[in-house]
Amino acid sequence: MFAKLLKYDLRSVFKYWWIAAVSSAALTVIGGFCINIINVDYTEYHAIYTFAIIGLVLCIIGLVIPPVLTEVLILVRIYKHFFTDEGYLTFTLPVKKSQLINSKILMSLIFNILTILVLGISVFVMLGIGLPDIVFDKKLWVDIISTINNVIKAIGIGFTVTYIAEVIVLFIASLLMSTLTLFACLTVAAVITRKHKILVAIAIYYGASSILSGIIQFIMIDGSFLNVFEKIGALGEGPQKLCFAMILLVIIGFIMTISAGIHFLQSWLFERKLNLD
Amino acid sequence: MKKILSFTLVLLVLCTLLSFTTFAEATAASEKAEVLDNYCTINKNFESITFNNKTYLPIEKDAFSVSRTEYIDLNEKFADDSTEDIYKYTDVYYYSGLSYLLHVDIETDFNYTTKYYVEESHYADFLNVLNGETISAYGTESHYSSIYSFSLEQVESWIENGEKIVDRADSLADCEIFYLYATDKGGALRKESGMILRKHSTDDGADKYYLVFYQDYDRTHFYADGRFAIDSDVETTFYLLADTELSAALSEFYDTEPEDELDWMITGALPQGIFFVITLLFFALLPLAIIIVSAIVLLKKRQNNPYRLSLVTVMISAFAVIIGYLVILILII
Repeated sequence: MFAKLLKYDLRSVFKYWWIAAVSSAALTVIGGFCINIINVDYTEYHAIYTFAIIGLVLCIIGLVIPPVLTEVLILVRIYKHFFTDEGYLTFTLPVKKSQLINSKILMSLIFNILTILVLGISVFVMLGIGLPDIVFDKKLWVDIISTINNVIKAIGIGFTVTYIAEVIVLFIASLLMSTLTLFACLTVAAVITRKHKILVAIAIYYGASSILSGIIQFIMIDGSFLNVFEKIGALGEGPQKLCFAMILLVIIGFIMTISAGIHFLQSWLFERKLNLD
Repeated sequence: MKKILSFTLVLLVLCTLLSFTTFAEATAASEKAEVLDNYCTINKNFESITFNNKTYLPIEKDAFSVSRTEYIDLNEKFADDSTEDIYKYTDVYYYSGLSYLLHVDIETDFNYTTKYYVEESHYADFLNVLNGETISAYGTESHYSSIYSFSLEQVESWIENGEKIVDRADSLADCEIFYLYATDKGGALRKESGMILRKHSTDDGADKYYLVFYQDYDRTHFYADGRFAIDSDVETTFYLLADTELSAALSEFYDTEPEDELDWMITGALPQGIFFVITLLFFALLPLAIIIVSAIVLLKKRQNNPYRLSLVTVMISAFAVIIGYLVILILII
């Protein structure tokens, strides 16, 4: 049943999301040509140059739209599916509430990752068209591979794999925390108010973000007070690498603890407090 | 909605068409500007390069820097096939508007070195600048109006006559520190030097400058006992500064650290114990408490617990925080 829930969630958001993705890809092609024009000596072609600049600015603005639109589509899906009249129907489905929540979280995670992939490819296409001499320069890629090789040699394969795994987990954990925070804010808003749920949710989100960033900043300043990095710098090579792996682990653990805490709050509100009357 | 979509589509098509036409025009313009024959020949074992019927000879790379940044890729041919086999990739570039200098990247198994090749007729001029022996007059074709050429003889002449050519100067206890940049005729080669002149007013009111220090340098250190040291990539040189008054002024200027208003944030200024307690609370005790509470909630309702996923994740994550924190603590203590 979870698979079915996920399928319908994905389909519902994908219905509009693909338009943003395709538009972004189309804009990057135009943006690439604009960069190409800007790169060429323009002294005799002021009008062309101006057009190219305007086109490039519009394309860059266009690139910002997909991530914003993705978040909006996800929130609209969650809001409509749970907190409007459609919610009555949703909660009559023969599934656990936790499955309903988890399907939305997974859907959000998938679309966030897809959006990042689309943006990455779009930027690459734009630069590939706009600056082919640089992007397709054999030397650049040899340099990049050579640098990566040197870094791997310096760090060691074991630690490289550990760091890469930790960074991937950290990336997913951060996305998870951001989605869960938004979702939880919507739920809290739906629990405490009948009207203007979205407005209240935005206010709660800002409050929650400030508190979370405050906590993280306090911990970071606390870390700098301890001169942790200075002390790590004084260690030998092996312990230094281990220390950085552990720092990443602590950050992941911290973010995951907060995320799971928000998930707990979310589930508890759904189970005990949410009333759609 | 349909109208808006159609309008957007038309705009998109128009933009794309416009981009294509302007791109074609601009590319044609850039191609017109390209007049050089883009082939160069690398002679045996990189001893020399032939380009545009001129011979280019290698020159030591680390002794100078090149002012130009824009260069154009050339197509390489090897006079001797056996040389080509040794090197995986070789790229030769010439700098825009500066055909007497070639930039060569030679790569073997993900290691590459950069070499510079100078056209034969400019070779002596380049060497002179590098050795600091004689320096060519400032080239009229240079784009760098703030760069001046100079020779030791010229410096002596400035001191004698009270003349000076200033690129950038910092005033310091009646002294002026000059940063000078030597260039070759074309303005491509760049070599930075520094010198300290002491200003003296003569009886007739004219200013005279006395050279107290002149050297190519990267960083300079002054010591209270009158010595000063030059750190350079190549070697470190120590000089004894006879002028004690100047020495003291320089030492004070360079060795005095400004008072930092944020000194109180430095760890040493506050007891370490407080921060140890805070981190212990955040990274060990709090996660431990979270684990215990989660375990209790989990055990209270073992079956059909809707919070199981959150609680288990909380426990594992908090455990990871504790482990990471303890390992860091053990390593840095």
